[in-house]
Amino acid sequence: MSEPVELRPVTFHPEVLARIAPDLYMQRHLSLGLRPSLRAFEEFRNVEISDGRLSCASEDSINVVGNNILGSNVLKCGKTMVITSITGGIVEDVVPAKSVDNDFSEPSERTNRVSQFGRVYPVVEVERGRVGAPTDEEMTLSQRLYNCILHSGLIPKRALDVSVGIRSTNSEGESSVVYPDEEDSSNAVDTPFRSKRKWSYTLYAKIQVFSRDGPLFELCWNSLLYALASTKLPRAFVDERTTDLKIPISMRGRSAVIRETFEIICDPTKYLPLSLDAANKAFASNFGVLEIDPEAQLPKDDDDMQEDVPGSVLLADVQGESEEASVSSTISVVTNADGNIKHFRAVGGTSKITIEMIQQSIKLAKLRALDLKAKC
Amino acid sequence: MLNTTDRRRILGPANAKPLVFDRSSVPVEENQESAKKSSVSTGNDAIYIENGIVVNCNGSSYLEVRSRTNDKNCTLLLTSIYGPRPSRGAFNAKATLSVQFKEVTLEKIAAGQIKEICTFLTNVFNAVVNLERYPKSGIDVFLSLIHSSSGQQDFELESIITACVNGITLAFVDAGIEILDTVSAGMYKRNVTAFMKNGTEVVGFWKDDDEQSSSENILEIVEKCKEHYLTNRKTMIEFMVRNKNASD
Repeated sequence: MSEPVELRPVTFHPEVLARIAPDLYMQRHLSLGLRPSLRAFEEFRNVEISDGRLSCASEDSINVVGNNILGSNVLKCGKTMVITSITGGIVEDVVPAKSVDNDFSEPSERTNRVSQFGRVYPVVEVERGRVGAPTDEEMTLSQRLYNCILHSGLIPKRALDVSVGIRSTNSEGESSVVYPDEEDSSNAVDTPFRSKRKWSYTLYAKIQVFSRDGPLFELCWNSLLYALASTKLPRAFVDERTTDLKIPISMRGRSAVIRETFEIICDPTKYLPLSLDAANKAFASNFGVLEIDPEAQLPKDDDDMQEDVPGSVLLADVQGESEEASVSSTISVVTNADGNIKHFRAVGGTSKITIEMIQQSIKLAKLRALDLKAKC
Repeated sequence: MLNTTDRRRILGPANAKPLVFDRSSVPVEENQESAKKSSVSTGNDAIYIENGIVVNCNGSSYLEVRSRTNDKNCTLLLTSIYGPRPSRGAFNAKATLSVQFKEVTLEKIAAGQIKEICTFLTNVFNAVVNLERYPKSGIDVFLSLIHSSSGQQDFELESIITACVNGITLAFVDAGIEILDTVSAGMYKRNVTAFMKNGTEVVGFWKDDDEQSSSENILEIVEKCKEHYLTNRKTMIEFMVRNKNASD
């Protein structure tokens, strides 16, 4: 009744195998001492960066109408391309009534460390050939970037303060802008406008990713960092005529006086670079840990010496579908060259992450940070 | 800076105001001059083309159109095509084509205008792609405008549309999707005409409110666009031939 079953070996094209059995494809590569991308285990991809000359402070587009990009970066890593653009807004800070008198640059709460740092509001979009609401990955990335920027202390809150100048128009109709920090000490005329109010810039980052090919957090982080490093904030001023404008309003029968909301105008030609805290400038690298499956190894010749195959390997810069699919234990390190670690995340998946691997990954991340910093 | 409640994106403080730049103290003459120049120089652009930049789609093209006379006028456009991929639902004898347009960095085109552009481009390429060859499938075109001529340029939208038509054609070629001919567009003032078959057939015509060319005969306008079309098409075909030779 039963017919003999004949087993024939099946061969697949590498691309097909990578699709249907990514783990086997991966293991076969590892047994050759290579990765599917033909990189060595601890080799990173090269990163090319450019500011794209998109910013309105750049030479190409200084003072053109409609451009409100303050900083930009185009990062290419392998085939993946990340385009980051920084835009800004101005927000009036809530200053407690008491602290108005003394210099309010001192944070009132020493304990709240995070309150001393500026924030960036990122929105990540990954092109994937679909339209609709942001995917989980995009949302997670945005949130993670937001948290990491805030807690790294990269942007001191002070760097975002708007030092508001005053534009005055003389009798000839010429207007000039005086900024508090540019004022000569010899200038006897004291500015009548002592700002009791405080404004600060808010920064928004728009990150667009093309050709997604592996985990993105590290690429987005690095791109965002480069973009912030190139960010220039415009000088801002208020018109003299509005400085002492007061509008009385009546509130519940009692008379109150409120000041007019000043219109803050930005100078389209004068920019100051955003001063980042250099010590907190850190770069991101990712790693994957994968156990070598002895059964999936390529058959060796009989006279080959029995090599000691390490139980698991550390792979730097995870890339490609088959790597991403088979690597479930990952390490992500954000650090600078001196080992000032800003973010560390290890996800223990199917493979065990050893202490040596963590040490090695931090060592490599430091080296890489040194390399990436040189490109800034 | 949109502060409608959106829990999927981190939008920042609700009381933030956009930056307002002061334009009063700035000499405006320079800008006008450059705009004038660019109007003369349509059809005199340097075009940089690259294919296959986006790897996870079926075909893509990257276009950099830079005006030769004014280096600052530059349009960077990335087109990627996903498809033909199976579409769900009822059986369709023909492929359905969709065009999505997005500004990657600056957002200065109104949503209504974007929709108009998409409709225009969909109409053009519905006539051009051999949709009968791809039954029960969908072809999606994604246009990402990375940068467009900085500033208030009179012909900005039109030069973007021209780049879109050329970019989509190149991406279709890269994707290996059958099109009837290498369609390309030419622009003249605020008019864009898309041609095929060596300029004998018009597949799309875009005309904007325009004082400058309102007095002109429409046939003359088409003729002017055709000149630009021919140079554009020549560039594209040269690129494709060179690309082919290089890969052989």
